[in-house]
Amino acid sequence: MASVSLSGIVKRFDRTVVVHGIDLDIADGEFVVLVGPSGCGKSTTLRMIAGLEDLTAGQIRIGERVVDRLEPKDRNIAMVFQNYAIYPHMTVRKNIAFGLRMAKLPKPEEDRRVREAAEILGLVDLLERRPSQLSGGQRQRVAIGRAMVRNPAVFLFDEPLSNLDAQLRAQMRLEIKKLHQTLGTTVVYVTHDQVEAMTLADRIVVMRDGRIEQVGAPTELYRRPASMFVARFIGSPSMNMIPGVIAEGVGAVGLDGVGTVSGLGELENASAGRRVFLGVRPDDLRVATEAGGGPLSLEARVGVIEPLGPETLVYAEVGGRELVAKADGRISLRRGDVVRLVADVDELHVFDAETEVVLRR
Amino acid sequence: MRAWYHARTVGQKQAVWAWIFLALPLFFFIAIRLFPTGYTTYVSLTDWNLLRPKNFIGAANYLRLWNDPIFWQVFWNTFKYLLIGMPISLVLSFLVAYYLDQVRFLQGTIRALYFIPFLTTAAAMAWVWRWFYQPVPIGIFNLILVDLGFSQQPFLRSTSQALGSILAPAIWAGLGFQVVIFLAGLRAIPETYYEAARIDGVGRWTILKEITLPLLRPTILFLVVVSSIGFLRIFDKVYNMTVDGKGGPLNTTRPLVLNIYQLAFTDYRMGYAAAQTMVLFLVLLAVTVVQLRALRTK
Amino acid sequence: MIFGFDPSRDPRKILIWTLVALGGLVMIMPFAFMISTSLKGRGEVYDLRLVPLAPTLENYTYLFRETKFVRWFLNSFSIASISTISVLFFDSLAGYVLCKYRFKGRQVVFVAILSTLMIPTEMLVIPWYVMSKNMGWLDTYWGIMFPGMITGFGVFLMKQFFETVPDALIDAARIDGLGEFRIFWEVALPLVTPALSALAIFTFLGSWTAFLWPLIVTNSSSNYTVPVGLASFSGEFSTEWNMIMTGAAVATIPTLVVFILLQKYIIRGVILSGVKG
Repeated sequence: MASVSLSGIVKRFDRTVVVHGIDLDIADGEFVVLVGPSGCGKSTTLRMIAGLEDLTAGQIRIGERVVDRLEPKDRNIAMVFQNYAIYPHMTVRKNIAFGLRMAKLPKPEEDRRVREAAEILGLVDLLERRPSQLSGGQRQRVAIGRAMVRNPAVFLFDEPLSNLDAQLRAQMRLEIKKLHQTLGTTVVYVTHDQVEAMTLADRIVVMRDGRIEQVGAPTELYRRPASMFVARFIGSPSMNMIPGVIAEGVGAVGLDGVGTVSGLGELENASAGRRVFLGVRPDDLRVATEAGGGPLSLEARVGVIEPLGPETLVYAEVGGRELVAKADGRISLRRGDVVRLVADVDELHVFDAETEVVLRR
Repeated sequence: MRAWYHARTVGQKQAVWAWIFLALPLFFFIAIRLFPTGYTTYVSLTDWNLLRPKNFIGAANYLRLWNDPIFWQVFWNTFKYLLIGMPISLVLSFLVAYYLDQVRFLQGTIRALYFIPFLTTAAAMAWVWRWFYQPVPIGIFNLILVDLGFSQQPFLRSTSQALGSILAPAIWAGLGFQVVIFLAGLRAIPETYYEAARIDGVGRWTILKEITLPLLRPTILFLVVVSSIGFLRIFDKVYNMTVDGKGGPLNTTRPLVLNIYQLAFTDYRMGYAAAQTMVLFLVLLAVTVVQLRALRTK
Repeated sequence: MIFGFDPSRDPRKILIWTLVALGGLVMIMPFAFMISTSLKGRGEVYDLRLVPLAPTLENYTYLFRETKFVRWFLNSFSIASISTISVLFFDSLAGYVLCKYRFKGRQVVFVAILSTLMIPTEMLVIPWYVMSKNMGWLDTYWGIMFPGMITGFGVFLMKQFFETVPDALIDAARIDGLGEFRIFWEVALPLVTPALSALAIFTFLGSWTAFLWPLIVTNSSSNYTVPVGLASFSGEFSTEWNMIMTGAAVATIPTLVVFILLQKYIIRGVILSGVKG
């Protein structure tokens, strides 16, 4: 078990800089998820930790050791790949034991560890099978088993679930989380799926264009996004953004063609006339059953309705713009109904339109 | 050394391995392919005959070649092989593949029958065909002709028939390869195109002309080039089917490669032979470039 | 209906089948005549029936006892085997490196190797001859083999096939602690066996049937390969067609056997690579 610390990590391929100087400290036993859209540099960062890519600049420590020049096998890490990367010409047992054999572990110890991992992962009956005879979920378990038996200080996961169907993904997600709780090993996990990030992580690192956009606990990122990018990326459906401009007086924003919101309190760097976006999550934007006021209260015309059971997603038009809101599943709504969308002041986010940085915390 | 290696980054270590693995192949390609190419080019500018030292004579070999009636005859022969052989073999192999594609019963076996000649030793088959062309009572072709009431033909002994007689086994040997490639190309055309055409009530001939052939364009181009190169390089069959391997009678069947072989390894006129290999190289290069162009336009 | 073929239903199909099948039979007639004549005694040569009246192996016995065919056969076999092993090893190694490694100069190396595909053998025989003469390789096995020990075609073919091996598998092997050569040998190579078998077959057959270079580089008859030996033998026996057919049969039968045994792989290989080696 070990901590991982990245300082000033830069990666350049030929002319293009993929990772622009990342600093990140991961505590021993922590489950950290790197999340971001494709091409944000998250996988490259993970591969640099693994030793599969060179650093252009910066330093990586695993535990107390600087590992920049160590080969992957000497870094005390294990990795699970997106396409499982299990050897198709070897049995499950050989696949799991392969790394141990390379490390020249005594045979009884090897067998013990393989058996232990197989038991935890429910692979005991499959040990003599070939990968082609396994389902996607089973293959992923083999890949995890192969990583487990090495007793690594750090587990690296590179989008391990993206090839599975939705149901299996949810199930494997749970298993990975349980595994982390059982083993307590440090995990660095890369995904583009924010749901995976939210459900698995102790701490999420949101990346964009090779830079860290925000680091924090899942709820913190959800409730206090530091930028429009994080606000949109975390949470589904993504946050509604209503353009507007800061009005005279404290804590007031004039929304384009909709009206004014006030009572927002102190806004950082807010001079009147500055273009901003007011953000509100669909979860926080409710369809009010009765007319009433609030800091945000918008009259809207119902468009598409998506009933999810307990609640209903409502796509409603407000001042020529479509917003998504949630309504109680028992309310009956129809296309064309005029309703009121309301939100509490605590749930409103204000972002600078130009820098996209949050102005209200 | 070991310390130096351990101080490298992962990427540098991989580069070291890459060069270690490539060292021998790279040396081979430079020594056995690239350097000799330059060497031939140089020899083509000398009067070298293995006995005396090389003298640089500039373009003299090329000038001589320009004025050499035998060279022009050989050059023209080579193109005859190409211009007659390539279209015939392509049309034949397409017909076979087109119809073979429509039958299912024993299809694999029939395909194998067509393919077998492609794999066999050209020198051996040349002798079999040479035997077929013999006069009565030895040669089967003449026996058949006489049985059917025609007169005997001289075949390999005639200045007008010999080239065609050598071309026949060349086409025969290459046919199976082209059939296999055409069949694969035909099968790669999605069935839905044909189904859609059939629903539209399009006739067999129109389907062939408007769907099959246009979609086979890359396959056809590939085969045109491969078979062109094959015919331009014809050697084994001519060597084995003509008297003393000379490409007779009266040089009427002698192709460029055989001429080069005779010049270089019978007469030891290395410089002049090298100049002719340059011509062969340029012709082959032109064929390949034309193919690349044609592929790019689509 | 048998084998998806219903004769009563589609007369057009029957006609097509018959014509295509007859064409196929015509294609193998030369082999039939060759083998049948090789089994005929001296007196029966001018009788062109396909099944010999009194089949005899006397031509073969004579060929094996009195000529150097056995020797030529062994020469060809050894040369083809060694060339094939060398080509498989070096072509796949070079193809692997060019496909899976990222290093400075990779593109240059690849283009250099690719460009050798454009250079016809005929252009190189003069320098090869001079090289062999200077190095004392004329009239030796090595002299016959050396131009074909590594092929650009094979490197290119293997490079294409290594694209089908996921990079993650190689990364996984690195994390498992495998050395670079063992990753190639134990992880990547077993996954491209179809390509390897195709390359092996083409290389072997290409070497077995090669004519121009062995003709140039060999002098003494004991170093001939089968095709060169056959050419010289047939020139000598030019009127004894049953002997010549026996020689041709000996040269051809191994390739026929290889084809019958490995038909599936050969045809698939031809389609995969599109080119004969």
